[in-house]
Amino acid sequence: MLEIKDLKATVDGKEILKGINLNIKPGEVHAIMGPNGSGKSTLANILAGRNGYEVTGGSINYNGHALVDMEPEIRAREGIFLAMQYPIEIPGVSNIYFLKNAVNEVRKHHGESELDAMDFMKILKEKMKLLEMKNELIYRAINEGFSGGEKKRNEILQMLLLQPKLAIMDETDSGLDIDALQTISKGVNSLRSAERSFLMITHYQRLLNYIQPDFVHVLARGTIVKSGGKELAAQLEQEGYAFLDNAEAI
Amino acid sequence: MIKLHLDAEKNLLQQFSEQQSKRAEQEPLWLTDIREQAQQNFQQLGLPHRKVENWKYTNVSKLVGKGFQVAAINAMDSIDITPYMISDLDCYRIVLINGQLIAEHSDLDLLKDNVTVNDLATAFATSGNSIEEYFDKVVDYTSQPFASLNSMFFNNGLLLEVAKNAILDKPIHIINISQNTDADLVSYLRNLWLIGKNSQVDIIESHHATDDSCHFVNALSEIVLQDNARCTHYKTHFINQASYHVAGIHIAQQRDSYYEQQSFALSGELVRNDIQVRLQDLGAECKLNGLYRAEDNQHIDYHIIVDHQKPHGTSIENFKGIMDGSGHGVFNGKVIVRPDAQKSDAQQMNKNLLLTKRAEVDTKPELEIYADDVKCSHGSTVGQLDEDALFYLQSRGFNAETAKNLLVYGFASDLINEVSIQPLQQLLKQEILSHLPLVSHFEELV
Repeated sequence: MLEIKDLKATVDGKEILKGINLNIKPGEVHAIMGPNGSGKSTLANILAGRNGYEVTGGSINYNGHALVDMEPEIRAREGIFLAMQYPIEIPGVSNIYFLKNAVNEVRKHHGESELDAMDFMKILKEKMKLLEMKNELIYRAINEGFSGGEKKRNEILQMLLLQPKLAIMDETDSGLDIDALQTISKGVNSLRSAERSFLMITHYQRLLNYIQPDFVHVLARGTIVKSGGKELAAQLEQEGYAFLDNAEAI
Repeated sequence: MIKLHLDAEKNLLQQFSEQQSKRAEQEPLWLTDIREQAQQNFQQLGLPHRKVENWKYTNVSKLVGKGFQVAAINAMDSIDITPYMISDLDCYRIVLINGQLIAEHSDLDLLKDNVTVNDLATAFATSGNSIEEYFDKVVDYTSQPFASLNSMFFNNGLLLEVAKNAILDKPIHIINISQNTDADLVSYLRNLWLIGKNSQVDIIESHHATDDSCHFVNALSEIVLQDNARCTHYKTHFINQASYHVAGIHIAQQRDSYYEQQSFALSGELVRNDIQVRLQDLGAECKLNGLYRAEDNQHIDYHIIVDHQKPHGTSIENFKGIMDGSGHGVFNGKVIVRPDAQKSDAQQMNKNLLLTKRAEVDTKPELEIYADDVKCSHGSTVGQLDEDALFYLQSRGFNAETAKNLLVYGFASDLINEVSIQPLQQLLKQEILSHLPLVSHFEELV
């Protein structure tokens, strides 16, 4: 599904990613952990196509496409979803308009008919119930006046509606209380399937108790320095990142 | 350019003396004095050019090149006003064509208990009414050559008096139609609105042109709010992109009165609104909102003065500009707090969005404070669309153009949502969205 080979990238001329290799197959859940400034969010943003990052080397292959040549909206319609670390507030545009049209953009791209208001509402209500979201949130402007937890739930709501093939979560767990974390995890777990892959970026091992990864990678100074199973996360939680000072890139 | 100005000024003064010799016989002496005083003002000021501070950013040479012949206001052939009505709006309607009240299209009978509507010429000819007390008393001609021209040349206009204690159940919609018979005409609109003590009224003032040719409107309005009166005034232009609209709106507020203006300038080649509010007595409050949008070859300009003269006055200004193509916007807002005006609260905000590198906006908020116990704030911003917000929408499947348009709409939406008359709000939404093609219908927008 996603093959990243020797990916190098700069931000404002400074090299942040120094040769990333990562292979994600359908149905797999990968977690990337690592200290601040290691390049985790950079990797997520490059995958989703945000401006301001220059890919200087290597390749990203997504289901047979060279990802770096695709516009962000095409990536979205082709099934890449980034749950943002800091969801953006957009005044004047209602959440429901945003959600419905996002869904229909994806459907149109795949030659499917657009959902009408009734059909959409039915699906929306069901997903919101799963995430224990207040009804009023869909009639407000996008993320405007939402609490931190409501913003993150809204991200996962979008993920549930858009049904991506590759879901990238950029520190979705940061700043959440345990109830919100459990609810969001429930939402994410409901999406897990043999065809759908996940890339979770997190600081904290706690998230991985609720969404169990198949693979854990440690990103430091722009490269993946260690990979393993979910036990690696527990080890990191106990021992911290101190071992990185001696570790060499793999 | 200077020769063009001098020729035009000479021509105007010549026209004035010809007209005045005929007019002076028909009009009351006090009006003749007003016209002659205006002529002297105009002679002193001349037509504005870019070396005059108050007109620094407003290039009026295309106006000056026009012939400035006063548009005729002969009885009009019957005109269909349906295109100028706001659909689903339940209102009292007043229709003026080139500044002339058209009684057959106006709801004068329905209004008569609460509101007296008259044309100015009739009011001038009748003695013993309040017109002499207020007419020309509110306007300040300082740096206002077009206001001077209006007083020199206006033929007729609207006198609207809201009775003491009248609470109107429906808004009044004043439809101003400009009908061109010749390319070089100017139509002079003149308004005097007297909003009586304890009364409450919503007034929609809309401007329209009958065709796509260049229409030039010079409008001058004086509005007096007596004690405890409340008036919300919506001003919209639905003029074509070739037209000029130069307007002075001068407001005098008496004790505890509330005046609100929501101004929308979304079309026209050259639009200039000079809004001057004088809070003349204790506890007067005004709120001014404005949304302006300019694209290629358009110039939209707001010059605002809010003058706090007495204690406990409040003023809130919130203006937003959207500049596209090579559009040019100007916001110049001055707040004066006089030595007497303690406990004044004045807030002013101007935000601008530049959508292209060629677009330009000149924003200049000014505070002149002579009292020490006041609360004043002002600010202005000029920015581009938020890259993070654009990316957010694109990352959810919206193409770049739609994402941009949603953000522009979002920028303007708070001002549109403040329009509490729903049919007008819908119309303004449609107007702004006509420039912002979106993925689907706007009804679902907030």
